[in-house]
Amino acid sequence: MATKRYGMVIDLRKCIGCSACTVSCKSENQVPLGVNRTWVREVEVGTFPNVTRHFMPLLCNQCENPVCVRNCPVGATYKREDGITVINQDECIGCRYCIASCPYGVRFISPVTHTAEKCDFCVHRVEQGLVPSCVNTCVGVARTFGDLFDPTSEISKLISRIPTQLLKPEAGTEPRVFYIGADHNVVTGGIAK
Amino acid sequence: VTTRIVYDFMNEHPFGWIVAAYFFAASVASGLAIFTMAVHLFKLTKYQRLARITAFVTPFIAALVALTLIAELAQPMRFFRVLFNFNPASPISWGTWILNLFALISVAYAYAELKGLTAYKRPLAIIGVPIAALLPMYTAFELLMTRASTLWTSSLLPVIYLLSAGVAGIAVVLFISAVTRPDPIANVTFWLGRIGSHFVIYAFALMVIQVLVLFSRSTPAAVIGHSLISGYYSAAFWGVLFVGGTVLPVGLLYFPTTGRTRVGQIVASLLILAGVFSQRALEIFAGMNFPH
Repeated sequence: MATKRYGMVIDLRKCIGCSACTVSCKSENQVPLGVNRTWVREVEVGTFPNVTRHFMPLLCNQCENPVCVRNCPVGATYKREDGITVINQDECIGCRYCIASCPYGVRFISPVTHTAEKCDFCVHRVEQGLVPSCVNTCVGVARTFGDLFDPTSEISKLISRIPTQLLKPEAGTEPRVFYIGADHNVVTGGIAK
Repeated sequence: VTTRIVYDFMNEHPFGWIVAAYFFAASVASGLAIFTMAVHLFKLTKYQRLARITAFVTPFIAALVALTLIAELAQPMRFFRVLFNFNPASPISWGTWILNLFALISVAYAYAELKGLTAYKRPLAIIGVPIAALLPMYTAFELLMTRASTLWTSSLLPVIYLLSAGVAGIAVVLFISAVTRPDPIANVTFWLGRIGSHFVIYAFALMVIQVLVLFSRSTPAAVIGHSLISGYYSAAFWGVLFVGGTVLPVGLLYFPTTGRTRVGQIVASLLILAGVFSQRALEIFAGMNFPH
């Protein structure tokens, strides 16, 4: 029985779209040029003069029921006890099937290692008791990271207090990244009207 | 509400032309193997000359399937790990073993054909036909299991892939027949062409149904449907798949004035193969064409 289940809450009301999370992630994890583990989608909703701009940080949703783990033919992608989905770079054959399987489009083949990569909640930092780099650097303090199994954690309190949204809940993947204040048009990339 | 994406980032699409070639080669190999072994199983003596040729061609196509599969890997030298790490939940694990088994059977069958070991051909064919049928169905299942794209989550996909594998096999048989036979006007290949043209129509009709269903599902699904029917991929869908890969070859094969001629059969078979390849490519590229 797992004792921890890490997750993240992103409060979109606080996100200012500065992309500091993208930059810090790139720096922390040495993410090569041309690929991203996390980025911020910017969407304009409405017509002039009633237009609002929304920011939507995207990253691996650390699904409870990850399709990528199920479909990996060699078991290179696996879920840790604490719920973080990671990739064993020494085992990955680069078949790209996990990339095709991911409903969130957050995986990529690294042009350097030629293996699949994605956000792993900066697992090397988490193991040292630190928060992921994007959470650490977030200017608007929009990102909250913590243990969902711990009722006293800040993330658990946030989720119990404020309604949250999930990305593509219909995919049945049970994401562990929760959004606060997500506009429906922004969540669906502006195509679900 | 008007919504406009000002900035978004998309990591590379996972699948490309090599995967399309892999799916196509798997279909051709499967269709050829089914033809070869069915001729022996059902004692279709009038096709025996052609079946002897296709028995030797099939292992080479099977090798091509394996090569495209390995070429698709970002770490091709690690391909052997798929053989030693079997994940029963992954379609690729099953597909690898289906492909291995298929290749072994097709080589064994070709050897039996070469050495005249008729006694071995029947058991090989009994195992080989279902394994050959599984090969294109597994490629469809591979797409089905991703769950990411609404185009790929159609239960029609394995049926379409199996049908068009049969179509591809018949096309290659017609081509070989027209090229190697001094007198291609025989009824043998004309009727095979007619059967093939039926399969071509059914495969296309099923794909149309698969696409039309998208419009009654979610909006992201309709985006994919529009891209095929009237959008970015419509020229390939209507031009290459419908006109080039369905209407023209069916017209050429169905009518005796062209269906019994060598040129008619060669052109029709090449058009059918182009159609099957375009079907695989459209399925892959249009399937990835949706916002995450």
